Amino acid sequence: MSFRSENILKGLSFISALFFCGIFFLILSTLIYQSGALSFEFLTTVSSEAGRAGGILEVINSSFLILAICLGVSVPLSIATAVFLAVFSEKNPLVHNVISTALDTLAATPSIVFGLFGYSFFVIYLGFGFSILAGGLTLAFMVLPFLIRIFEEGISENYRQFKLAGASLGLSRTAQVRRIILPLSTNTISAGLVLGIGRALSETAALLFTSGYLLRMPESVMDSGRSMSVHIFDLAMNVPGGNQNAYRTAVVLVIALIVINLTSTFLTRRVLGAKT
Amino acid sequence: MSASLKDSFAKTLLGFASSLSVLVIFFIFYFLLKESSLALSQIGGSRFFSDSTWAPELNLAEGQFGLLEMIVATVAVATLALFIAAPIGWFTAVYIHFFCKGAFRIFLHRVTEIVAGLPSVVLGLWGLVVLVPVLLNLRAPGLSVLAGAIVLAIMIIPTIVVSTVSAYQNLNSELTLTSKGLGIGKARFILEIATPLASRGISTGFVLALARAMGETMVVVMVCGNVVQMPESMLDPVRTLTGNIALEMGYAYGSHQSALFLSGFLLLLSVLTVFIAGRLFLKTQEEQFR
Amino acid sequence: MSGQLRLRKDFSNNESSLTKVSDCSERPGSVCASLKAKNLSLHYGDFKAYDNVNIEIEPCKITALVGPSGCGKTSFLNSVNRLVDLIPGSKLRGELSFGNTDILSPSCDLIELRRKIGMVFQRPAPFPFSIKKNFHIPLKEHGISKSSVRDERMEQSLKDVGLWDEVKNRLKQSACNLSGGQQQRLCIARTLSLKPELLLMDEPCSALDPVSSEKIEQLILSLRDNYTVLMVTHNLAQAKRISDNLLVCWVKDGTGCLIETGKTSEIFFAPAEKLTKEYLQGVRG
Repeated sequence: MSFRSENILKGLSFISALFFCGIFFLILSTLIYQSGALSFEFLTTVSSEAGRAGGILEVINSSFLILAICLGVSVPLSIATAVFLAVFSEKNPLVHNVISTALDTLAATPSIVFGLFGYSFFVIYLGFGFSILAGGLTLAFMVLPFLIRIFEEGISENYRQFKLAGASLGLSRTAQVRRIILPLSTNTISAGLVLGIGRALSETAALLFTSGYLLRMPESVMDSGRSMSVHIFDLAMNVPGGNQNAYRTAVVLVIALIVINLTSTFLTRRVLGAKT
Repeated sequence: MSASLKDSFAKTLLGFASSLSVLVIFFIFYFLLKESSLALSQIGGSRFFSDSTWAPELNLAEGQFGLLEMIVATVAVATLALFIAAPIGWFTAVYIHFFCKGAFRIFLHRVTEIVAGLPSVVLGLWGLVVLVPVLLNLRAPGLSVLAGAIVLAIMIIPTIVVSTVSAYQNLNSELTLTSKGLGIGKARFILEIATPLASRGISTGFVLALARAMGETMVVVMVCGNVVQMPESMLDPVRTLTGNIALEMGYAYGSHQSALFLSGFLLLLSVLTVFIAGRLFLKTQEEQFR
Repeated sequence: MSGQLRLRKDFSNNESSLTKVSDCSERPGSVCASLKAKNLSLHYGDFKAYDNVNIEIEPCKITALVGPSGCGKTSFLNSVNRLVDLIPGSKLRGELSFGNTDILSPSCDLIELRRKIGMVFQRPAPFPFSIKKNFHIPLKEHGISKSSVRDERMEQSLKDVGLWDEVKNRLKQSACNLSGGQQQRLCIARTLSLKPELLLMDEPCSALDPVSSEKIEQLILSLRDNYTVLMVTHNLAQAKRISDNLLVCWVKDGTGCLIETGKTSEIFFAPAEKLTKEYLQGVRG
């Protein structure tokens, strides 16, 4: 009887796993099939006819600028917070609780709410207008909790391991952070970086009313610019006949994300490998 | 500069940086409330629940500002998504953790990670072009609660799989040996020992997944049909709170825009409520367990 | 509650001249400051790790701290360089001084204190960088800005621990590639490179194989002339072999305390306390 129930459970769970994989490959194959022939020129030419024809060069440009601003702000901030939590206030449960609650709340906040906040604060209140700057900053605060969590884990692990040796040699905390902990955390930091890139590239809702829709080569970060994800949305919803280029952009985006994901697992494995 | 002075200087500086993440939360609440105040003063808080539907007009007296239908739609789509995703996610996690070894296991992990990282707009696009036409065969327009729930389910399955697997991983590894030693079958071990013990972690995953589904925008805008109405069947098109904001923010101004901010604030509150309620529930459950 | 170590009479005269050596460029030589504890106790929150410790450690001798697990030996060692500060809720009470330095004073410069009082742990703890960097990082932080001086210090300390010939051609390689015993000697050399006056050793041989352990023991013996060594050990035979003085501690009502202090040879020959006798005979502990 026991063997029968084991086989039933095993069968059901196997079917679920297979079903899940099946959906994944269905999505992937639809994307590739629907996008038709994808040439390299798609990446290097600008769009025409509201995106129906031509490539996505300006969209890629805007995406990169948004990404650069997002990471440029969020990575230093989250490393600073992680070091503060792991090294400088390890003994203070109050600080940990307060920041931890704030991070949980931030992580749970829906992206459209970030969009509203970004619109109200960056676009209107600070007067950035619909701009790549406003979009990048909004994304920066959105990815902050995820980056801090990753960095804090790696940094506190390294600190825990070497704090006694470091302190017994008379190294100040600052010295330990600078000379030992941060050099040892490069893998964690790159893993976090990769996660941040993935999140920022996938985001759409928070960008709709911060960096805007404008389909044009951005000249500065104060220009409005359309990210790849927003481009997919706009082509699919608002541009009749835009489906194929929507699919092509989606393929480019998904390939980029898969490459990033593989890099991240490779890096994580190196982090874990270095520890054991 | 002496070393201890350097340390306290660094601590202060880093403390300032850290306080920013706390500050942002207050900023979000402050700015959402600030922008909502116009709607609250001109339209009044009660009309958002007493008005029969959502049909904003410049003339506030003629317009309708009821959010109830969209709140129901939000809850309906997200809950249905969780009902679809929970069994698939749980079974997949059980397969990954208890039955699967070697390369296929690594492969499944990788697929889970990649699906978790798929942009929601890409999933929405897939739903729009592949899933909706299939559902159209059942009933027009195909864009519906069910379409949204299925795509959202695909989106949240990885969340459930990852948290369930890690809940099982956190169990004491001696448990398996002890159970084997007592001659307990694998199925009985999974269902009657491992799952009850890991229930806290597993339910946390469900709550996280539900919150994620409630807050998702792109998928529902693309496949739910965006018709403001009370859903009567799973095949009815609906508009959710998130979808409403995404659709109307582009052209709304004045008290209409302010009303959208108010709905965003309500959305934030309800997602956080799900979160906190989930945590409290888990806490009491844990206390009982002790 | 415990006895006082009998010290050489002439010792206190040297004290004042010693403590001027605050600059780490000068080797303390064969004159060292002494470590004194009076009514010292340590609490971790509500838990009392040890209580009522009164001792004076003889300079330029090896003092071994023995006793059963949980009697606060490591906690005491960690108190001497205030490493217990890193543990939340720890509270040191009483008096503890090293030469003229009041260790428990809030104004005590921990960085300089920890340079003067070096520490070696049970498990070798090299930083996972090159051998060279393991020396350069702490030396740089202690204000030695010239790279050539740091190299000299490294070479001298590595020679002191007999590791120089083994590693001189691989200074750029990771310290983690060394064997356990080499790593431990590296850590001792790293500590010596800061020219400490007192060396705290927390069971420095217990994680090593017998051959490496023997080498470390010889090394500790060779350090006796220039450093004061305070070492925790579980190995009574080792304590008997290499230490000059012995501190025996015990757990009473869950709190550590000292039960007997004195010359190692005397205690092993004729312990004054019944507990000590039973412990040394292996009947208890």
